Amino acid sequence: MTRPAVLALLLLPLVAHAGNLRYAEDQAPALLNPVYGSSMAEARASELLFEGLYTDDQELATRPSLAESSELMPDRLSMIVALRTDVTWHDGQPFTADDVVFTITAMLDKGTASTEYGRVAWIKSAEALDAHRVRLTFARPELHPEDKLFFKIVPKHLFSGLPLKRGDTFRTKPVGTGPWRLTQFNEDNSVSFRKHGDHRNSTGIDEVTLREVADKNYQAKLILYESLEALVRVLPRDIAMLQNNRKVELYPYQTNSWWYVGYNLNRPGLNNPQVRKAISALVDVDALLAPVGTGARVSGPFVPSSPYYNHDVRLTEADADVADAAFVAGGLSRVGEAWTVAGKPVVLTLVAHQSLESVQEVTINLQSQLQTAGIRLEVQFLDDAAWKERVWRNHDFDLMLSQWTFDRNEDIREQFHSQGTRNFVGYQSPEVDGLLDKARDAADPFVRKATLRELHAKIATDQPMLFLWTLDSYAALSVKVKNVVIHPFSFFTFAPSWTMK
Amino acid sequence: MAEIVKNPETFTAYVQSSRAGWIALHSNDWRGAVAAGGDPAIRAEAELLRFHRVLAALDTEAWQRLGATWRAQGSLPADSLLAWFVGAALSDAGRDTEAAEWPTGAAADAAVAERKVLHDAIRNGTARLTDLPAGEPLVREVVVGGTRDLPDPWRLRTHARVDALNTVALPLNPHLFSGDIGLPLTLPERATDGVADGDACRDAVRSVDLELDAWRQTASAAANDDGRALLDDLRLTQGARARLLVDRAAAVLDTGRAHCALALGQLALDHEAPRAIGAINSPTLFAVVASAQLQVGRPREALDALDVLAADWPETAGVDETLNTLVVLQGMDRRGESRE
Repeated sequence: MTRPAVLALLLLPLVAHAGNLRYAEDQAPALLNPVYGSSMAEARASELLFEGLYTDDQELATRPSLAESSELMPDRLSMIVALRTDVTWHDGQPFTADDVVFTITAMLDKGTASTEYGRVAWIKSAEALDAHRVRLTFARPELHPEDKLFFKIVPKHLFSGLPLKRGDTFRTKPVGTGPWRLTQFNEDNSVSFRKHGDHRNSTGIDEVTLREVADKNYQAKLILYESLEALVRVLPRDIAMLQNNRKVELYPYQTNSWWYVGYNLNRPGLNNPQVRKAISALVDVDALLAPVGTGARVSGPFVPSSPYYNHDVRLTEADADVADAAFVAGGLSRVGEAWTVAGKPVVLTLVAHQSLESVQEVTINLQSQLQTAGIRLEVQFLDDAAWKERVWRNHDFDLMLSQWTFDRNEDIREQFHSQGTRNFVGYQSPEVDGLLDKARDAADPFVRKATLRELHAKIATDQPMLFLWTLDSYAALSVKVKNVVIHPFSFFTFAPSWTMK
Repeated sequence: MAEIVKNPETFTAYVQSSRAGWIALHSNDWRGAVAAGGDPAIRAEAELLRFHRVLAALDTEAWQRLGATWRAQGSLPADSLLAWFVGAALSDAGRDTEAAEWPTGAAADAAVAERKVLHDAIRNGTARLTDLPAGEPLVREVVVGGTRDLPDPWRLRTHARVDALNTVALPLNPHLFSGDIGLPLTLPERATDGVADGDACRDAVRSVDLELDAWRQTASAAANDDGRALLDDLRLTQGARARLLVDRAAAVLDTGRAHCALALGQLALDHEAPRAIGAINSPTLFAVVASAQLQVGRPREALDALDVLAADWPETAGVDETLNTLVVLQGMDRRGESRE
């Protein structure tokens, strides 16, 4: 970003006044329909706008939100949820049981292609008993179904019917029941929210403004110049500067987030475990991580502090001899400096989302490491639309660099089950499917813990991905913001109780 | 500290007597300091005692929450020693009223009874800490689909008792340079609301930081080059600040002010190296943060803090597993969410 551009950002006519909390995102969400959530920026904005039947309290225990109460039937195959009667949508319409039934039915509808399908797949049907009571019927007996009813509810009256479409106008004109309502998408890509006056709970902040600051290098400066009140994630290199500033408070918070290089297992060559093993053995992960920030390497699909992390699984290490042997075992030959297949040099395409933090440093470093070892890597940075098209829908890549962030349940089913909706790499393992099922069905926490540790080991062996690292996460908030409790996933869940001087 | 900065030769002369020990103590390597002997060893023993006391309290709380959560869910297994372990942990901590809610009496398992005898012997000095088997679990129960591994519920308190036996004379302040900054951290009265209590404690630290900034400038200006180098290279001010905050955090934790303890702990953390023990980050800091996180209802976050201790402090493996199980238990019926 050029200096005038920074000045322009600082001078934006977004007047700071008491009760206006401005926070930065690398990229403003283009779509605010929670049925199609895919990015963390969307999740955070959705938390301002929408509510689920249940939510977390500050100790992360389940508490009713749009639900008033519920009754689980003795056979545990159905429940009746009584809804609050004092809830209105941001457009003034009353919230009713029809909205709940509509949301669930829409997410279950295959034609909707909801990214959140997995969160309702356990519900067989939803039926409105009256204006404020819903009967949910389950596919299997449920012990505590309210623990799964956190997905956001959308208003039936703003959709023309089923299935829903990603392009519905609702995506940019969202109407929820949450504590803030959207007022407008601004020309500078910022998004403005204002307190939902009819919300049942008071909020300490009148306005929230999401400011798109694509260059993360300037986000910390903006909070120092009091042009922002909150940074969702502080770049590691900015931590020292903010730590020593008396106008800003740093809040370390826990995120179950890890980076990876995914191998497209539907591509010839990459479906060979020896080839994947060889590529992984060419990568010096510590060297990739060093310029990115402080964090910890991971050997599998959990972060090291997770209950499911298997500490017996070793981290991959760069080892040219291992790589050479694995390439040969995988049918590759070295010709001169390059590894070849059928006489042609291996050329791989790596895609990465352009807004991924430090993406250029990581990809250039990776490209260099592979190039030195005889593998040519072509890197493509994709904008959000292209990423959704290439990765989410068409699985069109050889390698992908990305990260996953999980809530505290660290449910990796969608990423690794053969039927998972987020299994972009095309991983198919009956053994892993079985372990995921066993973990899901376990009634004993000790058994679930051990099963998922076994799963970690199995996935690490199969290497559908090269697991990289988890980064330390810090939020920064102006000292003007008080009563701050940060939700480790959704960030703003407890923001209604935040106050501003 | 002011004197040291003005006359760095005083510092050199003082630490020369046990240079290796002072270096270890400065980097919060307490076992290294104990091994080196001398004055640093005495101070390090005091640090170890406090560290293990915090961990022992954390372990007890983890057992209590695991048992209570499982019981509240209505699925606490009747065929497990787990309930007995909860009672044993609470009883060992002197939380007798709560312990009475759990099975008590002689351990049904011979290995468990034998372990308890060994702990008693170590605590009264007739056996050594090294006699205690290092690994976990103490009990492995076979259940449908796997095993239930229960860690030793007495281990950390035994460490604390041994530390107490070794701590021959408690120094007024275990740290050489912390006493003379002259910036008392006066914490506010406890606020009714926990989060507000945390905010008030943050504000108190902020006031101290402003004074500390000024003190540091003055001290630096009055120091010669060697003194300034000491102040900067050894991060004396930051270290003293962190120790002050951790001291106070451990103290308020004992009075149930978990939000305040958490705020102090987070403010003490060296954010440039948040996963490493060093001159600023002590093991007790992570133990305090883990304990505070659990008390404010965030056991998953407590695991993050404990993770830092795992490599160098193997005795934390048991409390780590108990918290792991608690976290898993709390999410048994949840459906997870993930985003890019």
